[in-house]
Amino acid sequence: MASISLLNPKAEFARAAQALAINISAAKGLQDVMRTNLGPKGTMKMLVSGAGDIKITKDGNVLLHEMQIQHPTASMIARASTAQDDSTGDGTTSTVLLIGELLKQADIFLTEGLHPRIVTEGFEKARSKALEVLDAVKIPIEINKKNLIGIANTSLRTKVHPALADVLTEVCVDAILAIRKDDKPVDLHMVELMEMQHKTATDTSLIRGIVMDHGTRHPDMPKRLENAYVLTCNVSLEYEKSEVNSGFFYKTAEEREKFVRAEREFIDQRVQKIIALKRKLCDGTEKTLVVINQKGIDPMSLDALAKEGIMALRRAKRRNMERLALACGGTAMNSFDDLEESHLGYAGVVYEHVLGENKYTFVEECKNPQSVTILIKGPNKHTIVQIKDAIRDGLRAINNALVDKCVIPGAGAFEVRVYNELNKYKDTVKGKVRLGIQAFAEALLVIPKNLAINSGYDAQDTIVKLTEEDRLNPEPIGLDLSTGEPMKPVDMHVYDNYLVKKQILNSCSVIASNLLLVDEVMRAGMTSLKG
Amino acid sequence: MSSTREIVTLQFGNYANYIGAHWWNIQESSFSYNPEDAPSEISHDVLYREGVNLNRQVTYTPRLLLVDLDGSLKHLPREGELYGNSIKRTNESIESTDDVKKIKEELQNLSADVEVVEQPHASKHDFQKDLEDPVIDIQEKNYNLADNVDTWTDYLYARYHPRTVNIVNDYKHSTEKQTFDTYACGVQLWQTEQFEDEFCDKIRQYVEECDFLQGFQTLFDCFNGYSGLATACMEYLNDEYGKANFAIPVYSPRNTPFENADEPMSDSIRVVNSALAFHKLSEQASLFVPLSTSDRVWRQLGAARQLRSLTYQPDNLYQTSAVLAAYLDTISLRYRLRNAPSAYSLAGFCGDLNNYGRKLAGAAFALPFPMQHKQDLIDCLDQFEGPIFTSLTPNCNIGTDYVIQTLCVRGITRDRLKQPLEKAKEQMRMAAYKCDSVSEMFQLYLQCANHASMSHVASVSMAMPTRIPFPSEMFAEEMTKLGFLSPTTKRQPEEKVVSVPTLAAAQSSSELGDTLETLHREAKRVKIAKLHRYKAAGLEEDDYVDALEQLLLFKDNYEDNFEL
Ligand SMILES: Nc1ncnc2c1ncn2[C@@H]1O[C@H](COP(=O)(O)OP(=O)(O)O)[C@@H](O)[C@H]1O
Ligand SMILES: [Mg+2]
Repeated sequence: MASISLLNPKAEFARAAQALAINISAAKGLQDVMRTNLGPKGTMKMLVSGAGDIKITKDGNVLLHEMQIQHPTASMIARASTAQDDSTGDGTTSTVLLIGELLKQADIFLTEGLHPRIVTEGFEKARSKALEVLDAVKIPIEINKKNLIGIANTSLRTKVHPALADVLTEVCVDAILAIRKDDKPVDLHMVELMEMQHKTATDTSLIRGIVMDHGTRHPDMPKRLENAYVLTCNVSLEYEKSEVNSGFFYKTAEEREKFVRAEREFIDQRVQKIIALKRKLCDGTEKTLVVINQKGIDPMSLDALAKEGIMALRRAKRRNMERLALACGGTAMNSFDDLEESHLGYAGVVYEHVLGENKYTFVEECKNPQSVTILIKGPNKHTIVQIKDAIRDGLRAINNALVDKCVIPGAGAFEVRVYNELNKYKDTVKGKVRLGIQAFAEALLVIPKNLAINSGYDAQDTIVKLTEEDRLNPEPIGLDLSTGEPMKPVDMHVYDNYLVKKQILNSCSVIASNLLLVDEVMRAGMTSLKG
Repeated sequence: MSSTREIVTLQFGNYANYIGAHWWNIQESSFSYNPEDAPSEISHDVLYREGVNLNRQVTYTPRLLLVDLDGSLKHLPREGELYGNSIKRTNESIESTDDVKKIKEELQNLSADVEVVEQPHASKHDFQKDLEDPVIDIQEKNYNLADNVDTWTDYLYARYHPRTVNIVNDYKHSTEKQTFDTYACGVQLWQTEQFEDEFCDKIRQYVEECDFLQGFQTLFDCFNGYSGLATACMEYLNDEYGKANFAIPVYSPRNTPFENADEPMSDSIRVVNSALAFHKLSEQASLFVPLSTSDRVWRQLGAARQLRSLTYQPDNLYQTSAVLAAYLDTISLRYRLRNAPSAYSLAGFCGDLNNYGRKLAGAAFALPFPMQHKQDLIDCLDQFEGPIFTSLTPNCNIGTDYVIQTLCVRGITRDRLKQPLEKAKEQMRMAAYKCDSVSEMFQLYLQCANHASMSHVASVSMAMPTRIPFPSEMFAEEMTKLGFLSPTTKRQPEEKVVSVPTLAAAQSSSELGDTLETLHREAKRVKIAKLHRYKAAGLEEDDYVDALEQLLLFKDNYEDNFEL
């Protein structure tokens, strides 16, 4: 690269300018696809593949994953924005819109001859100022149901229709509150997501216990037990035909039989230990025993257990071992050598539900469950997938709020406030750098503008109203999507995650700057092509 | 209580899926839905499962998980067609169809706008269109599949369970260049949520349904990123289930270049992937039998293997994959027989061959098993000249002495064994005349043909079906409709070979030492540090050096001719 520019610096410049134009148009293209998604009034998209697979979504992240993005710049933006989603669970659409808008605004000054370096310097200053504003407007929250509902509902209403969003909000908040212990960070894996293809989406509910996607495998085994001890274990109850089973290595059929019998007895002894414990604890009482095993249970063992009225499930998920212990109490056992009552958990009821070829087992009425299940329902696969995506994001929004211990006023309020602050700030900065700050400020308005457009309001009008109102108020002012008028997000409980906003500011300014300094990007592109 | 000993099958990669598609097709074309027929000698429940869809229709589908890249399915919805959940597409725009209208209406009642974004309709192969038409008999038609198949879904007759298909979105399928390139990328892909959570959970769901799981058979593309993905999966299966695991690494006969790599570099990548995979397989597989119709696959792809009375286009994916599928269908009879003694199991099959750590075995195949149409087996074997079968393991010859092998023969009925006493004449003078079964006679033959060897023979009287969509155009004119040889008469062009007798073997012999040695030699010559893409995907140079050293130690298992 260096040698070429020595020969012909003009050509080099032209090439860079051309590349920049390409970058900007790629960013605009992506922005155009995504802009209609922003906010609760964004359009629902129904994607149909060439083979007829259906996906329904309003979520920018899902959309980006489904799109076939060829252009390297577009795919760089897409990657930044899916990275945003991976780390925070939200903010994908905003990221795409903001990067695109930063480039557009910068372009206005660049065509007037401003050097990209100056613009990016301005972006850098604007970004740190914006982060200061972010800290100034954040609203510390007490962790309680009402506050968490605000944040969860804002997020969920941008993913699914309002009636469903309200159901899911309740479900997600209750789930998190159930598994939260003191001030310890929550492990979202302790909320199991289980899907059942029947009924309707709004039948999705929270089960205060564990639902498993398998059931009993013996015709005589009880399908429902009450007052149940729960034994969770990771102990094989199946006769494993070992590798030395080869035809060459047994001299006689008897020798082989002997080996088989010894192995079988070994497994039987394990089964007998369970049966002995059940007799000791349950016989003559109302109590019952359920065995949930991560390993296999073969038909002979199932038969022996069934005869004792024990309900036994095999091949439970590894993660369910931990979940069951948290939901029912007890310990997951790796051997039955010293099995005793204290190792067992408890559930008020355990029952099986059959749906087509699928079986489900519900472990419910647990005392103080610290692991719970969200049971997702829907008439078809695409509805279920959409709900699952939404719930994941909802849970993360709540969890982010727990970590941040604060929220940010949404509905464009934060962006408008930063816009006003940056305009004041830029006058204190000397030189052309202030133009970069101005571009950054303008770009942020892409969020309230598109929120307005997607609800059918005029973008210019909205911005004028919001910026004026914001100047007059100490509290940030956002857009009421049902009236088109300014409102206080706090009154309407429209909140965004602090973490998400922070990450958007950081990643967008970095990516936009990289794309502006296209010369370097090209160079980076060249080296990454090799090898 | 059933006593089926189930197996879960895994297919990783496009060529593996080509082979798999043929294999399931072959199996299903021998299904009999007539309750009056004698029960099949093969227990299909070993590889298939019964289910019900939401319309309460009974389904019978392979207990299978497969992985392929985005863009490889063409018309096939990811969830398959048996359980609904996709829209039937035609040439017209989707917006106007009733299905879509209904979904749109439902959504519009609940919220505001719905925008339908549709990709162009993926056209269906004529064969697939005809399968949906109950009036058309596909056997009566000529589809020229060898010339117009684009991907394995074109000729897939079998129908898969919604669980089966797993599509990787991060890499795009292309017939021009391979994007999913290195072993290391495959290992990385295994560590993503799609595999660690979803895929593993699907395995668990299959396993949970099984009463007497025998183990797994893992069929995978060994030349690209799937080498890492499949072997990482096998390691997981061992940790989690500890059952027998039979691996079949396969090599496509078509040398598709890797992205951003010229031909020599593409060859190097294939060699490195192979070496890393073979090392991993020596640790994780119970037994592995590499398959290809090319005779060499390390640095350069070699010539096409010659099978008697069979011609195929050397780089035709549809045809070559059918040959390999026919091999698998035959050799796997060992663990798919109904009412078989317990040594006829996957563990028994692997255990016979893998003593002394010899987990690598070679494939040998006769398609068709060359027998004259009026000949008795005893005369056929007596008059046999030259090797009885062709090697299908690349860079490996057929073993002759000190061989341990498992053979499966299909399509030779008891009455073709020998003449009854009163007509026996010359046959009575042969030692083999005392043999009363097909397997016994093969045993005796092998005892004479291979010095100091040990063979296990299983036999099924039903021949292998070769009806459409199997490429029966590969069979020579001298073959009869039933797959036997008739050098004096020629089959008419409109008459198709509907079944063939086959003979397959898996062999452990010192030949495999050479296979490993040549691989090691090629792999050692590659400067791994210059292949940045390995390091970029997390493979350190030291790991590679270690793997090669281990590979050499593994080769030593084949060094000495052991005592039987
Ligand atoms: N009820 C509401 N009224 C106004 N604005 C809202 C409302 N709910 C969410 N928003 C705004 O919508 C934006 C988020 O939209 P969303 O579609 O989730 O995009 P992203 O993918 O960027 O998260 C945020 O700026 C948020 O403040
Ligand atoms: Mg959002």
